[in-house]
Parts: sequence; C-alpha cells; structure tokens
Amino acid sequence: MAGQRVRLWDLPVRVMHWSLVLLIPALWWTWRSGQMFVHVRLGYLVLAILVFRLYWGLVGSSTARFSGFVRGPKSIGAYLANLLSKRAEPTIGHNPVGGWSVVILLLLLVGVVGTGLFCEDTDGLNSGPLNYLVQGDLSSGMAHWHHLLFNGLLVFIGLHLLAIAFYVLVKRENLVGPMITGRRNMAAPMIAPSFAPWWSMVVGVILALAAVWWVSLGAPLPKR
Amino acid sequence: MISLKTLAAAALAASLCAGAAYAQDPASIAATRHENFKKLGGSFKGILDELKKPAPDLAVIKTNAKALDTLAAQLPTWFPAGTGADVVPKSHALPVIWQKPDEFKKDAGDLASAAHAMDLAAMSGNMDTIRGALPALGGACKACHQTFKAKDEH
Repeated sequence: MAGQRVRLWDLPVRVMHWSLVLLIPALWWTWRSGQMFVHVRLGYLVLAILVFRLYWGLVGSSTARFSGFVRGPKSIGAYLANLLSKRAEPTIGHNPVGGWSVVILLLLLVGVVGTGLFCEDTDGLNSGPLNYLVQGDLSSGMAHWHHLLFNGLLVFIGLHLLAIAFYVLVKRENLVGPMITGRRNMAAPMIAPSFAPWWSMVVGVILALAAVWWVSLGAPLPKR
Repeated sequence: MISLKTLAAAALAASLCAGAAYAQDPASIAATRHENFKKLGGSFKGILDELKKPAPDLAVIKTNAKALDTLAAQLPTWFPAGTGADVVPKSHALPVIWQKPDEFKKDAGDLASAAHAMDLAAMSGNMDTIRGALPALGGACKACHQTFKAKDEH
C-alpha cells in the first residue's frame, strides 16, 4: 500500500474526548441517583477540560485550533456537495461540518457547566459553588436551564454518533480508531499537522486547575 | 434584607394558610405547601449564602435560623391527605407520604430537631457551632426527599 501513517490528533485532544465520554454518563447517573456531592466534583473535572480546551483552541496543535477548523459557508457547501463522492479527499482534522459540531458541543457544555455552577441543591449542601450569588426564582430556575441545555447536548451527541455511523457505513471510513491512536492512514501525501510543544500543555493544565480552584472557592474577587 | 417583623408576618401567614388548608381545594393546598417549602429552603440558603461571604452577618443568620426553626416545626401540618402528586399532578409530594405516615413523621421530626439545633447555634453566635449544625440539616432534607419527594424531570 502506498499510504502513509499520519499523526492527526494530539494527546490532550484524545484524553479530553474520552474523558467526556466517561464523564457525561457518570454526571447523569450521579444526578439520577442523588449523589450530588460526586456530581459537583465530576462537574469540576468537566470545567477543567473546558478551560483547557478553549485554551487549546487558541494555542494547541493545528488540528485542535479553532482557526483551523471553524469554516465559512463556502467550505461547508463544498464539503456537502462532495459528501457522497468517492473521490472526496479525507480532511486532515475536523471537516467543515464536523468543526461546527465541535463548536456547538463545546458551547452546550459551557452552558451546562455554567448553569450548573449556579444551581441550587434542594438539600442545601451540594449547591453549585456560585449559587450563593443568586437568590429566589433565579436560583431555583437555574436547574431548569441546566436540564434543558443538557438535553440539547444529548441531541448533538446523538448527531455526532450518527455522523460516525454514516462514515463507517457509507464512506467506509473509521473515525473512532484515529481518536484512540491519534493516527490514521492517508492514501495521498499531505502536509502533516503541526503539534504544540509539551510545555504549552503544562501551561494549560495549570491554567485549568487554577480556574477550577478559583471557581470552587466561589470566584472571589480581590477587594478594591 | 428581610426584617424580623416581615418574617414574623410571613410565618403567621404561613401558619394561617396551613390552618385554613383543610377548607381549600387540593391544588391550592399543594401550591401553599410549595410556597412554604420555598421559604423553608430560602431560609436555609440564607444561612449558607451568608457563610460563603468573607464577613458573614450574624444578624442575617439569626433571622433565617429563627424562620427555619418555625417553618420546620409546622411542616407536618402542610400535608393533609388527598393533596399528593396522585391528586395534584404538579405536586412533588409522593403518595408514599400517606402510606408510611410513621416514617414521614420521623423524617419531619429529624428536620425539626436539626432546625432547632441550628436556631440554638445561631443564638450562640459561634460560627463554628453554626457550621457544625449544617450537615444534620442538609442530611434531614436529603433523607426525606429521597423517599417522599418526586424528582424534577424537566
């Protein structure tokens, strides 16, 4: 075979992806079974992932950067027009539609985690760390938006799975394998993605942990 | 901030509502109960929110602890038979409340003593004693909700 093995997804992207695959059902289950103490702690992990992911979208590897995968209507149109064509070149990184799917999934996660921070626990002890900043109907209404946005997230996760199934069944392309190994075979030579240095990963982890720590303290502002 | 007078008036109004509840229709009894629980939860939240601040105001904690104590003692009167979720669909009061009255009474009693302990702690003015009274209070909420309250399904 003339193909070459190409490095596609970096380690942080893969770790974050599969962590969310485990965390989202776990968060649902801890809520359903009333384990709110665990639920809030797992929520902090998602917050850390989101902070890191947004940072990584600016300074990460080329396949992780927003500037690399958020495309305009022209690219989306071209992608959709060639969707069923056998000659269509596989995209390095997110395709134009997949890129927007990532953006929407991230925005929904930001919404779910953001409202979760302000949610009131009916039992009082495991309210979100920022619940003390809201009172009355705003406080009790937060849970409503938290649930609503979570259901929206489930819808887009469903579409994400359908897209993966479509690629396997119709386009005979396995997208799951590369998300595990980070590599895939490319038939034609291509420009390899560039990868962020290891220290930039360390900076991101410190940034994410500091943000979670600050929020868990109730996001205190320095006294003026 | 809520003054003591408003709170006393609210508590009086709440007790009157609870007293008059027997003459009302199930839906309005459930609605009044819902308001009472909002006040009960609100007073607990009032204490928690204050403790989150860099300099908690003891007066606010005392007012809320007093209201909490009063409301928690009244809680068993908010549940006349025939006002549960089986009759009023909007209600979160599960029919098991009236099927296991002794268990429900015990849970309500646990809340009343935890709320009273919080009231005493607030009167002592010691922040550590107040913080120490929190877990029993939250635990009483949770224990009762787990058996007797329907989960929110939005």
